[in-house]
Amino acid sequence: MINHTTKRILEVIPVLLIVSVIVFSMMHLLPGDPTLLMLAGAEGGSIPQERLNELREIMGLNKPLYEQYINFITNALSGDLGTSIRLRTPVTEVLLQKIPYTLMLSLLGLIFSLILGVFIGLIAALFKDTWIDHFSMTLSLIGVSMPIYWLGLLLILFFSINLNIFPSSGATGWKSIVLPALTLGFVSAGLISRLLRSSLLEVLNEDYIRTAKGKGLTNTIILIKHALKNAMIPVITILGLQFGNMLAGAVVTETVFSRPGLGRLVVNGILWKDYPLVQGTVLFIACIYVFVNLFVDISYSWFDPRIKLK
Amino acid sequence: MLSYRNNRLVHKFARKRIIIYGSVLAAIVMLSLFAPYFAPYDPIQIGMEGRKPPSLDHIFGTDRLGRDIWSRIIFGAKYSLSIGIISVSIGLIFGTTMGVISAYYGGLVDTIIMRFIDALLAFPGILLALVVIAVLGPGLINVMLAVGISTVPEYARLARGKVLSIIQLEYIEAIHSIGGSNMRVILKHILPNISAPITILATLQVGNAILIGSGLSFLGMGAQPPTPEWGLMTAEGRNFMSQAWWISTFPGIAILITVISINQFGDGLREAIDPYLKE
Repeated sequence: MINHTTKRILEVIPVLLIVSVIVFSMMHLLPGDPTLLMLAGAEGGSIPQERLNELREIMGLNKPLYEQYINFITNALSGDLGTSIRLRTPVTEVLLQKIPYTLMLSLLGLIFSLILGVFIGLIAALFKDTWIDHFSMTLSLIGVSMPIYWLGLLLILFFSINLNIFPSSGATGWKSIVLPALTLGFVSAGLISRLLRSSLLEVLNEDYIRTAKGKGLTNTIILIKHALKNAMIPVITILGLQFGNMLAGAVVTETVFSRPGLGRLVVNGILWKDYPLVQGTVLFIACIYVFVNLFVDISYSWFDPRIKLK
Repeated sequence: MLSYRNNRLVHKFARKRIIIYGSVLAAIVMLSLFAPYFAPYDPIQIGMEGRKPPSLDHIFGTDRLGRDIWSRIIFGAKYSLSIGIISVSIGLIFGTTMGVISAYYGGLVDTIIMRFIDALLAFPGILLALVVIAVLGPGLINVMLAVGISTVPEYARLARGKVLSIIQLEYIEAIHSIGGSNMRVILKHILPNISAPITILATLQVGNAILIGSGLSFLGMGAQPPTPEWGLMTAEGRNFMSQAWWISTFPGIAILITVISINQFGDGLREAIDPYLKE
């Protein structure tokens, strides 16, 4: 057990190193002078040479590449991700402000997708090959094939404009998070329900289910008490992955609902050509994703001891 | 006998699915190829009647600048389809090459390539595409590259897994023993054997690529106005949802129908090709 956990943790180190190289290279792969692009994006107009030199000096862009990378990584490890050109604030500070919004949204989206996905998957398996099954699977097919931003707009049209129940934008009060979380969760709900349905149908063929039937238990009890528990294993496995999808989905969802958060920060950073902001946010999201997956992997081997033998 | 019947049943459903959704896809491709013949209006020409609701003249209404939405959707099909096909080809070519080399040569080469692939997988979904766009700048071609690069890891992993199971087989050893070069083994004996799963993955990825690509255009990172790209068209109607719902709604439906058809077609293909698949 310890060996598996240690091995998994050690595997993360090279991945994070390569991630940091990719993120670091972003600014050096830009066509043209990054300082000119950044200042033009932030301040506009013609940029005096002194201003360019000053920024180059501050950002250490006139040092050799390897030295820049070492500085980048040591600063990042000590929590310094540089300063946003546009916001004139340390990137870490901006990130700390926005994290709660995105985490809350992702978490609620995940919970919603789990509830809806399990419900639809269960109903579909329970009424296999009936119209209920076909309807549920069509719904989940639509879920996975739908552009997430479009779903967000439809929800705004229905719940904000027509019914006036939830606000269409902003981040004040609990009501403002409902529509973004629904939008974010719907796509994953489609995936979860399809996965759960097929895994349930597989489990229902097992011997112990036949035994339960032989004991005279009702179908509902067999399904919920005996089959669901085992059928949930693949669903739990993909939850970590789904959390990453939530973080990525937040990029679009936060923009549709004009909510503050990490996703919107990346989009704005790119549009403003504020590269320290983009680099910091992307590095941060990638690290969260890597650690969440690490945690899911390790906890999964605790739940199912067969994993570590593989 | 039973498994034979089940197999027949799976094939029957798969065939039905391939025919139905294949026809929808064929229709979309025809519309995109012969857009000037099918579209009643110029997709870019600004009209006099802005934000007109759907009517007999304009079945999907007009947008803010009075352009016919139906015509724009027809002309826009080629952008979405190209994003899907070109980006998937980029991912397929680079991903498969990396996966095959990684598995075939093993050792340090394998470790380096797979660590790089793992690092690419650390950027969830659209984020990797955004990183590429941040470097290359917005634009349709860059979106294709960005989406293509973001799908590389999936092909690399699949190809590596398949090749690892093939190179252990005796016939590969036999070719080596009669002096077959590495290149010959890879091109003539390995690639044909992994082409079926790779093709299926590619088909299923086209829909995903269209969704990510249109998402980037929606965010302002892809196609630029006045291009009638579906994601961009949805974004253009965003601020008019209360007065003119049709501007964003119809392009979204076009994406939905296209992606559903591709996904179902891909599923049908998978069921028809994969002999071990059971429902």
